[in-house]
Amino acid sequence: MNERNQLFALAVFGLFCAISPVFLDDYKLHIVIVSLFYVMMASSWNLVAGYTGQVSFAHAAFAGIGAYVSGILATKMGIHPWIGVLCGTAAAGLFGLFLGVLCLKMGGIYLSLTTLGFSEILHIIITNEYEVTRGTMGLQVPGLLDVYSKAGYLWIMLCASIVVLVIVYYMIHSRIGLNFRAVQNDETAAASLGVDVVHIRVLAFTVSSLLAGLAGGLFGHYLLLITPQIPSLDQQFLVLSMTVIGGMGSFVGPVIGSFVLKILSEYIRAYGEYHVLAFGIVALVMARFAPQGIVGLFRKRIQG
Amino acid sequence: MMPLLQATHITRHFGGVMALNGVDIQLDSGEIVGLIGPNGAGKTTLFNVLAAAIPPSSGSIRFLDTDITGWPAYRVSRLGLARTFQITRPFLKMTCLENVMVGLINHRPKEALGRLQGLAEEALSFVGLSNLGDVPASGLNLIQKKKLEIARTIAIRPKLLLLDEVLGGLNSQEVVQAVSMIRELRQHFGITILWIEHIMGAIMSTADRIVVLHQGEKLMEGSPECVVKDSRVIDAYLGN
Amino acid sequence: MLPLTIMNGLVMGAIYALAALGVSLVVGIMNVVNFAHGELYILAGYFSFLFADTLGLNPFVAILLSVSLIFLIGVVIEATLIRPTYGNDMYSLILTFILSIVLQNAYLLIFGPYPRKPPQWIAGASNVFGLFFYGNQRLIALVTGILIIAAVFLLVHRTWFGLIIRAASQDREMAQWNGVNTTRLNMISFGLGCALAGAAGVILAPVFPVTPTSGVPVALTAFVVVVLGGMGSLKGCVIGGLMLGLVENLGAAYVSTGYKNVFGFIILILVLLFRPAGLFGRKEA
Repeated sequence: MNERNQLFALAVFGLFCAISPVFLDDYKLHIVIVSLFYVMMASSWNLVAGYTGQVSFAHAAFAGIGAYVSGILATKMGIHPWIGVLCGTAAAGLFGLFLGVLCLKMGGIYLSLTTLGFSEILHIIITNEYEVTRGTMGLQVPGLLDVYSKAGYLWIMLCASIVVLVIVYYMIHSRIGLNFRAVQNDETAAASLGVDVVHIRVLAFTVSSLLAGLAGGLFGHYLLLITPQIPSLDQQFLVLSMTVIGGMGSFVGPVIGSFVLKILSEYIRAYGEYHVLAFGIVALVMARFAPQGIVGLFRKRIQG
Repeated sequence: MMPLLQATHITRHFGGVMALNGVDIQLDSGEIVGLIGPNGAGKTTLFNVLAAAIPPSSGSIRFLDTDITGWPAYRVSRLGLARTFQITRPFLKMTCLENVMVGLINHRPKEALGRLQGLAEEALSFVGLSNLGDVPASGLNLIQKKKLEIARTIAIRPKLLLLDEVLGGLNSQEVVQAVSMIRELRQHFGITILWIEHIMGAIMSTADRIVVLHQGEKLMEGSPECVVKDSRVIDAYLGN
Repeated sequence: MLPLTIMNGLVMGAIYALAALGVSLVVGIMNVVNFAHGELYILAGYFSFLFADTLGLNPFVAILLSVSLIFLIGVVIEATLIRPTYGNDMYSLILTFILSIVLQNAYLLIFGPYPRKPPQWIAGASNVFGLFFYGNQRLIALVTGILIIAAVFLLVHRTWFGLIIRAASQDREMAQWNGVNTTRLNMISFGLGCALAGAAGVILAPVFPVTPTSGVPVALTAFVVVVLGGMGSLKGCVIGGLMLGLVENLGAAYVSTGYKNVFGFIILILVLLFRPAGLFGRKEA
């Protein structure tokens, strides 16, 4: 399947999502909405991991920052959720910029270690600062729409997903994307050709964090309840698994991974809370034996 | 006239091991200078220091009348110092054309992509890879990978090119072709070349001047004729 | 209170140093961070619980058995998951992270969410310098930790194997040229790194019982210690570990208990800001 066909398939699928309120019930719409949240998360994480070869473990944490900043602004200061989401997005971007500048001079391993620490710390802060965040009880926040409507939220999440995908697509197909891939392929060779490796890595990480903040902010106002589950390592793990299983470093891979895993998890959930373990084992096997994910397997099959 | 590159008293150690000890080297515009020495003499370390892949432990480097000591590699590259690698390092998952484009977009950020693509194709055709532009670099053989590395560097029109054993693994006919290409680099593009090589015949017949490194120090430098006759050089190679 | 807090800090510091030594050894030699380090630490705790409590083995037999098993598991992990990723550091990060989540969930399934505590090696408490009474189990944990750290230093600085380790962490390619069998070296060092996590686990489990996720804070602290001490520096691990143990316990006692684990992260940020190569790190890349 070449790139043009992939984009065409994505467009058709997007259209299907757009008209899905006509034939899906509220429960299934909910699954589509959550999947779209994961599309944004996995695609933006893929921008960093798949295209520049750095592993951030704070992607869920940045979604959490987006959600909590927006939620706290709405509950404490009465700021409208739409403006709150923008503030949350900006806050996530700023945190990303700070962590990126701090770690990326030293290399990718430092980023992984620091982002993992950051996720845990954020979790601790949110649970401890009960007065502001309501801890594990969760923060009740107003919705984005005056009248609650699944279809409305679906369209919002769909538009946001398209925005995220367009940004990711633009980045990987521009000069920046060429630099991303050069850095991922061989940073020493890239630097010898004039690529400012640190700058490129910080840029990718910051944009990716910003997009996670957007996804988290919107998702929080859809759920109407922001809990520490959003910025948890389990969530981070799900985003990572979706990208790895779907196909890291490919544009459509994370989209496929998000929908497949979200829908599967609904089926597995009937048998208890084993979906994390099951996905973990699948992701482990995939990362080890089929690092190109579902997209790679599909491609191999077509090429025979 | 100012030399193109002047490295003064370059010292570099790894832990306790002294890889370079007070090496001075000077290159004038338009020269082809050979850098030779037995294994472990510090040739590649000197390249890595000059191209800013690693900083020197002490010493200073001036290039194009600018003190570049301690600069990051990308800035040195953008100033006009390019290099190839002893073990080739193409971007394996990118096409040959994209490989060449990487340097161009960073050296000429303001020019239109279409024009840069033209320059990249030109560079590929100069090394004889024009029909492989859309092939991923992972599909190339050793010689093609070496050619691709040269195409990548000449596309950005460096003032100085560091060549690290480009002839290794080539048969005698290919060596002749490669040597004539290296001569053309100077003639066509006016590129100054510092060249590490183990194939003595090729380098002695091409270089204007030879610098000999031995155990991290400069043993001697001079014309190829002087160097081949020098007893210290012969001793160094025979391991006395 | 202060002497007791310092004592607690020292005990935790020794364990952090031990856990960090395992991480640092592997980073230095293989440039791989094992994100499942904390889960192996926990597994050692579960093993010693299983052998000593459920099977009723002698506690010392149980801990030796547990640590050996963790070593073997480490060797298997290296051979199956890590070895194919050489040359692609990113995949080893992703694989070990997934492994850590898989293990956490597997523990939950097998051992349940409740804390498990292997029997204490020794009962009672002793008077320390006439200042306070301190649990004998904690004292013996401190002593054992120090002994194992000393043994690691002897291994690295006084043996043939240590020489190879030091050579490989200086320059991997060079070591390979000089005929070092890097495949076997990686396997053994990774196993050893895991065994050190296991050692920390069996020492601490009788004091702090293990739960499926209680390895996470210990591993995170070990990672901070590795960055603080300087990647690959063993001396840095010991000093960094003790520092972190003290800072956390003093911070918990005098600032806030809830933020115990945050102090380590603040130190991490400060190190990255002002001395990114760590206290004893090699400055050059």
